[in-house]
Amino acid sequence: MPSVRSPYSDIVQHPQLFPSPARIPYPAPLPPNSPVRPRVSPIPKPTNPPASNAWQNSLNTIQSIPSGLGNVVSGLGSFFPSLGHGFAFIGDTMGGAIAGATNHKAAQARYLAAADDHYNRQSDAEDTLTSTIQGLVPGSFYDLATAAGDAAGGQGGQARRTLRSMPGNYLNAWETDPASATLNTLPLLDGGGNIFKGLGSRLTEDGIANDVAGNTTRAAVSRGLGTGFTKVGGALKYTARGGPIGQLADHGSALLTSKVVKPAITASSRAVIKAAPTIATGLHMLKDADPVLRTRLKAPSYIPSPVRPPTPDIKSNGFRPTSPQFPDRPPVNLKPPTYQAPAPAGAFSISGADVPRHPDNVSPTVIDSSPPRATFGNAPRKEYRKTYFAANPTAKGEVFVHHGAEQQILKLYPGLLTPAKVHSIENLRGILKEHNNKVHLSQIRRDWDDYYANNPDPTEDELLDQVTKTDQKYNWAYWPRK
Amino acid sequence: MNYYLIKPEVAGGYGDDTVCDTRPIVVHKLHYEFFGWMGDDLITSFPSFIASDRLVRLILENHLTGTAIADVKVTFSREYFSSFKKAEVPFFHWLKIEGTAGSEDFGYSPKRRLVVSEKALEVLRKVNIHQADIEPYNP
Repeated sequence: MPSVRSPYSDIVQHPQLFPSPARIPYPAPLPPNSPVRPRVSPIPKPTNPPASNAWQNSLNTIQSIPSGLGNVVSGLGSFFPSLGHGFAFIGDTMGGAIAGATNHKAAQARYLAAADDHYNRQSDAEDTLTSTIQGLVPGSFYDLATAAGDAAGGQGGQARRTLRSMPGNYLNAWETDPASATLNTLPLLDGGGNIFKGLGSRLTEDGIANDVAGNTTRAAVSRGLGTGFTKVGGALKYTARGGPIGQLADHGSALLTSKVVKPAITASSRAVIKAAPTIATGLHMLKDADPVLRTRLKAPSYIPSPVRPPTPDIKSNGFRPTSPQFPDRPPVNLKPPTYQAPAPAGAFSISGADVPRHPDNVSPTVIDSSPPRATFGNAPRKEYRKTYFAANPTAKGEVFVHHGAEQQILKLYPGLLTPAKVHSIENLRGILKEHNNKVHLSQIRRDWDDYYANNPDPTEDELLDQVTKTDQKYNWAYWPRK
Repeated sequence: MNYYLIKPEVAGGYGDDTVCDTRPIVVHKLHYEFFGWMGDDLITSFPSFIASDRLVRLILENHLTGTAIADVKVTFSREYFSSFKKAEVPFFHWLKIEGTAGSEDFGYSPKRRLVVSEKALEVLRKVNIHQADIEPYNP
């Protein structure tokens, strides 16, 4: 067998991400001067002359596989079918090209080399694919679970942050009408799908960024995946604070029926599924999933509609008859809710695909989204961290201290506030480090930037209005909450 | 030509050495203090913008109009070091916006938000502006 060196062999591969693939045995090529000729040619003669550029097409297609991996990132749903199509195309074009090359030994050697290379790359692609699913699915389960937990009164900041950054921004619905959104199963399911898309997009960005930096595509992809895993790891880490990880498995069947995951899995090759215990488990869960949901997924009308505001008849019958996202569907015949209210922080109860819906006679334990109106006080000192930790000694090391009304207001609107007001304990907020402070601190700064643009000459009262709005928006990330 | 309203990443705010007029804010000397950085090459703190060296080079190479380049003092707050171990950011320049929205590649809208031409947006997309909000500009 000719020695084929993969162009990616120099990259240190994580054994779990890229396990060594089993090699397909190919017949060894005959020595150049061998008197023995094979009785049956391993390469069939062509019945039709191949296109002149078939071989180049083949190689181009092979070379496109790593790029396809990068496209994990542009959505798992589109990625799996395209990968499968890519492999099929390789088979066709390669077969044609090889057939066109007749029995020539050089062509045979070239075929073996290309086939081996192709197989290596395919194996790597499948392994990466598997790892991607294994990495992302539990993370998504977690986000789904924490989102539900958060809405049910627990802690789900990580999920909220994730959802907020996703395309489609399902959190908007949550923020405008959290109680109704909590009662709705399907946004959660599609939220899961969006988490996939969003993580995928992020991976693409990382991949591209690394590519620009001069790395190979493969390295870029692996780094991108690494970033994704880090995120998942970060999310899971959050459970150390009492997140509802115990219920994650219960969400498996629900999530796997989402429009992104199911076609993705069914479009992937059996080899991938067999190689991935998580996916095998997932498919098993899919099989056992709620039959109503399975029926829906098979229906051709499974096309999500834009989010609509809650229908006015929700309160009249106690339950939302249909999802606002899927208003054309028949009502879901879910089991009666097994809601445990009020739940302590971090706790919620969901079993299988039956996400509970609040009856009206149970007050929903959503987070109090109405913190008191912001005020200013008088700071005893300029060192605001000292002031904050004196008032909240247990928060030391757990939070970043942040000003409700930014310090730069002193510079941008001189005379409007005094340093004593800006650094007063009433204007200080602690933001939990676990809540990916980089993201939401950036978002808070962006909100204030918008405020400065729209309010060139605010009053102190108007500033307090803005602080109150910010508190309402980010109270979930504060500790202690306002 | 199409124009786009861009709200770049807000990675920090004005430092103590900033010299500016207020109501409206007109900055004469810019001191940008990083509170955190998500990696974008174009950063703002209303109404000022700073751009990484590679972005400035691209702007100059592509002869984009409506900007002037000046020096900026860059420092890092204590909050920044709570999130990052090292103060590792690219070399930044003050990207002074001198154009008018809808007529030059970089311009201020009436509310003093950044508006860029399609050509400028293509250049911006060659660098990292992942944190920026971009929307079509309708004057």
